[in-house]
Amino acid sequence: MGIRSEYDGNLRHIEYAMEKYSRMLLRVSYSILSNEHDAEDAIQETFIRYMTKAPLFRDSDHEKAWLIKVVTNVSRNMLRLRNRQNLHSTQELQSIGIDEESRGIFELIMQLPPKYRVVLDLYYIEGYKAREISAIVGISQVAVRKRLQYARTLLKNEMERIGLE
Amino acid sequence: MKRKYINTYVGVMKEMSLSEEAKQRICKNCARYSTLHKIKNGRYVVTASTKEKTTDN
Repeated sequence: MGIRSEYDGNLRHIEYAMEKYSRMLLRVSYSILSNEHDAEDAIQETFIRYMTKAPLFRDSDHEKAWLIKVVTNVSRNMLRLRNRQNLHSTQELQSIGIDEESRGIFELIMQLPPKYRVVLDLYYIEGYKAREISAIVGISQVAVRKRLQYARTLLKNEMERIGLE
Repeated sequence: MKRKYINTYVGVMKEMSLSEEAKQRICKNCARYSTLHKIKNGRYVVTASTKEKTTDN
């Protein structure tokens, strides 16, 4: 197999995985980093690990959980190393698909601490159970439930405070 | 009661997506890096090819 065909094969593989998982990875990564460019870097690093480590997955659920775990770890490491203020410009929000109408709620969501956003995302959007989130994030099931409970209360209080229905 | 707030949250977060440009950039970078990584690790042998001479040469 030549280099060119290997490159094409890798590109097709990545494009397929990107189509399938990019939204999910962006949500998880952005929840932690709150910055489009950093989130993109984290996703790129995750896919590089996906290609170079080439782990064997039992099924697509295993593959998805592996990607979430890696993007969470990569994003956390990036967060530890950087000290950047996060300002969400209209242009940035548009480029990640958030329109002007949703901007207020999105800004509010981004004010929640990252640890709560990640569990909310995995539970309500990705549909994981508390037991599965505990394995992915590396905290106990009780902690996952507590975070969910607290996040729901925070969300409700904040939305009520700014008068959002 | 809290459900409507969660629905609002889910609705907004589901709108998020990477731009096509960003997707393409990441795909190309990853494909290039992973191909080079495999070459570097000796999985593929790079064979030199001789350049064909043209009449100009």
